[in-house]
Amino acid sequence: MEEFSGLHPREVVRRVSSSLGCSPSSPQVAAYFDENDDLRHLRQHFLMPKVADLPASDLSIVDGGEECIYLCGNSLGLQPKMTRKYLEEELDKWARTGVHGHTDGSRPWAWAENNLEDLMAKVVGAKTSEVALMNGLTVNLHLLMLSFYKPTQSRHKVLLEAKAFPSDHYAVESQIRLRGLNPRHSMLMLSPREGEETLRTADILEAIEKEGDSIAVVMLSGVQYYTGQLFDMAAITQAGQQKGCFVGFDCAHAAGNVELKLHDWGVDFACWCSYKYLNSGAGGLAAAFVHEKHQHSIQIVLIFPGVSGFRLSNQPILLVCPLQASLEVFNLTSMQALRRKSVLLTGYLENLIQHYFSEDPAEPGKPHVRIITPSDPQQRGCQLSLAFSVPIRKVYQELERRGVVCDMREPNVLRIAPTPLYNSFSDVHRFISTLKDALAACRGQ
Amino acid sequence: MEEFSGLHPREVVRRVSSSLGCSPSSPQVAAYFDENDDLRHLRQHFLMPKVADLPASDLSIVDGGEECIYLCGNSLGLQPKMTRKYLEEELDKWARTGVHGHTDGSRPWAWAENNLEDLMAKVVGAKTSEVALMNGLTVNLHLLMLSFYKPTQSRHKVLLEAKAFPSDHYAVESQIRLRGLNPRHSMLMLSPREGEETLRTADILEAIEKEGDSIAVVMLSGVQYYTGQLFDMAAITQAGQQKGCFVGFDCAHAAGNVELKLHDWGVDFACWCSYKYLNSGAGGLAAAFVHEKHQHSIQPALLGWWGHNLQTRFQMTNVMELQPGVSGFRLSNQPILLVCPLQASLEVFNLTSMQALRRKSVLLTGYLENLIQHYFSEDPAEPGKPHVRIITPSDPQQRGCQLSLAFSVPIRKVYQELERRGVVCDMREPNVLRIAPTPLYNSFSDVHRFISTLKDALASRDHNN
Repeated sequence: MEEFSGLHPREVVRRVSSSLGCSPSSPQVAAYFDENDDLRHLRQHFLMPKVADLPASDLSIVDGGEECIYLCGNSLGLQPKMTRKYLEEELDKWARTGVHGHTDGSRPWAWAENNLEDLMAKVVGAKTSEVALMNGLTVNLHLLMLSFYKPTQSRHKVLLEAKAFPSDHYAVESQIRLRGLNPRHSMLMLSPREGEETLRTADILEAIEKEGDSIAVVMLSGVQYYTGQLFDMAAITQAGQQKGCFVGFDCAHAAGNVELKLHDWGVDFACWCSYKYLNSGAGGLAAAFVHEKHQHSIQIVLIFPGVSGFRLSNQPILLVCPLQASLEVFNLTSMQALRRKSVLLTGYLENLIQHYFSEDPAEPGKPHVRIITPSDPQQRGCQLSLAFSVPIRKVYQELERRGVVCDMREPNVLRIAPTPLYNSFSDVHRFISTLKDALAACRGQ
Repeated sequence: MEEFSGLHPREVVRRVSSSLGCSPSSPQVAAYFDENDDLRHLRQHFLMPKVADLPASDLSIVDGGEECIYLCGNSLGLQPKMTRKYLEEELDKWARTGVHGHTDGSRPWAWAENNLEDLMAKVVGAKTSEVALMNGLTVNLHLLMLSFYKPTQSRHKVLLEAKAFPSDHYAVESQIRLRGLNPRHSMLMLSPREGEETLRTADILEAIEKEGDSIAVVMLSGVQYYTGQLFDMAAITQAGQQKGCFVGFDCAHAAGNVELKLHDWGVDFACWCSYKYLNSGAGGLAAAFVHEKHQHSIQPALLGWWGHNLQTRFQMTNVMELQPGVSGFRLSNQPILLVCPLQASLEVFNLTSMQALRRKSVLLTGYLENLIQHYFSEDPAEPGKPHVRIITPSDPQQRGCQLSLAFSVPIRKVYQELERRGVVCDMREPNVLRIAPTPLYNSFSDVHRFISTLKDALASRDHNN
């Protein structure tokens, strides 16, 4: 689909439907996109749940033998097929050789996670030496903040989003208190403008310009969990550093989702979990990044002896296995190719949402959807956050009955994340049809 | 074997061999102990490697079909048999239901580790509310030290062993530096007396008495990794607290090994890993303990959303509702793949008690000691003969299951000859072996076989030199 590169997804959909002689909302468009999707075979590397196996499926209204419509990779990625085999290899090694597993086999436990660092580094645009796989995200954020957040009398603030993911908020709050400072003075939170839901890049940069001299660390998410907004990490990094701040990102929703260039952008530090777009399973092995420019200067506070000094202990082999299985699939392609598909896939979803669920002045009682996530593909990842004009709980339940897996944020938001690694354009089309049915079912009650 | 309770293992061995009419070093003694071991069936719950599968086995001199002699549970415990099944259950659930696994099934991922807390609490003598399963040991030690180590001008020291496990040493050092202090002044290290290898309890207590006013935290291991010494945790806790110190223990080598009573002893905090005597696999889920007396007074320094009250945690309000006690120290959801092996292991512990395990262990290690002394004591009549000095205290109450053996010859060749013959144990160059007969799955015959093999290994080494 290279002939479409550079075009806005809306335009791509228009051209394709035009050449097919059908409506943009026709399933033929989805079929066309799938046939021409160079990455469609990657789906085979994952285990897609069947409708019948989902807890809330209503088999009287949906075919249990079909694959479900899984648009929840932003919450928990699907299981890579090789996971089981790799885990069994390590269980066998443990059973057969006991303690020798630390040094023997294809995944010597004493350094197994080190072997995945180059694959992970590729995904986030870092050098291998800048990445460590370890712990959980929040632990890593704390380890990094202990080293990078060194407040002085004048430069004591941490800048983050007003609605940061709770764990980040609590982490930053506690880091500030640990220094004997008051979050009320040292926690600088960026809110959207009145009536808006996302942050304008210009406003972020302006805040940094205005307050930068008193900011010690800028710590934003790469992709905002609630709105799906992708921040301009390059510009924010540059602006922050120009004012003498350290700049770090929680890339939980960005890693494996969007193209990251942590090294080239000069990002000071970053951390992310691996169970979302990196598909390593609930509580999977997290990661940390420290730019190589700091390798001799940043005092690693809670030692052990770059980012290697931040490591505290041997990492669990059982968590290395699913992560290896997943990163090997990423290694069959590139973040660039995944992103190209993702922009079109999410643009296609957006197109259909707008087609069917825009507010209609002629039908004021009809439920409609407002997309919270920025419309500019460069300012979002694969997720769209949909704000409904009706309470979401019943809609969500009707979707679940029909084999859709997505995320609900009450009172009225759904987060839908068509993931380029394993979702198809037909998944998106099926979702839209199902959403129509779900809304109709709600109205019927 | 209750008729022997209270007797020193040496005496038990003597009586049994006497009643059997054989030498104390006869395999009949081992067979007798095994037949009368109420816990021998627990071995069936673990996967014991076969000699042929070990990397260094020499099948020309040993039968590959035999079970190996695995005396390395102090380094990595054996795999509980139910591990695979539990892991498969969670892999199936993930494959079949995706994100729903967080709330569905027998191990909902969002709180699976909470379901193991009462089993773990039993093992360490704590209340369920005092235990959290999370992270790795060193992470937990740091989280606890950040809350308990609050140095002042006068009270700024941390007391630990001179040869603490490296991770503990580095952790304490960095905690001191984090406060802007100098380890040289604030890291108080206890060394054994000249010519001794273990610490005398009296010396520890004396150090606390003398320096206690300047000590903020006493942080020792429960069982010392190198010497195998079991510290008098009750006395140390009392002494430290009497001087106004907080007292914590790294129980990595103690949990699942010796009887712990963290709650009753009033220990302030503790942490441990689970891949040694708790058999949860390399890098398994670690644990932390905070005494309930602190539940409203000691605040976690570093917060994450898992410390938030479960009822409202997912409302994403960004207003922390901190759980009391150790639960407030939680940072994130723990990996389900690590919960599975730990569950499998703790279920085996739950078939017995630490008291019963300890009773067997005292006899098992005493039996090992007896044979070591019988065959490998220094012999003035044969000065060239290799001999073994046991570093670990001889008092069963001052050790766990491990014996650290100092050889009169370099250990490497001995170790290699042992490996060729299917022994799995731990070598500490230049001349030490650590042997840990684990009550959960080792037998008295394992110990006897080890001794025979050690004789062969030493003879072979002699022959090859």
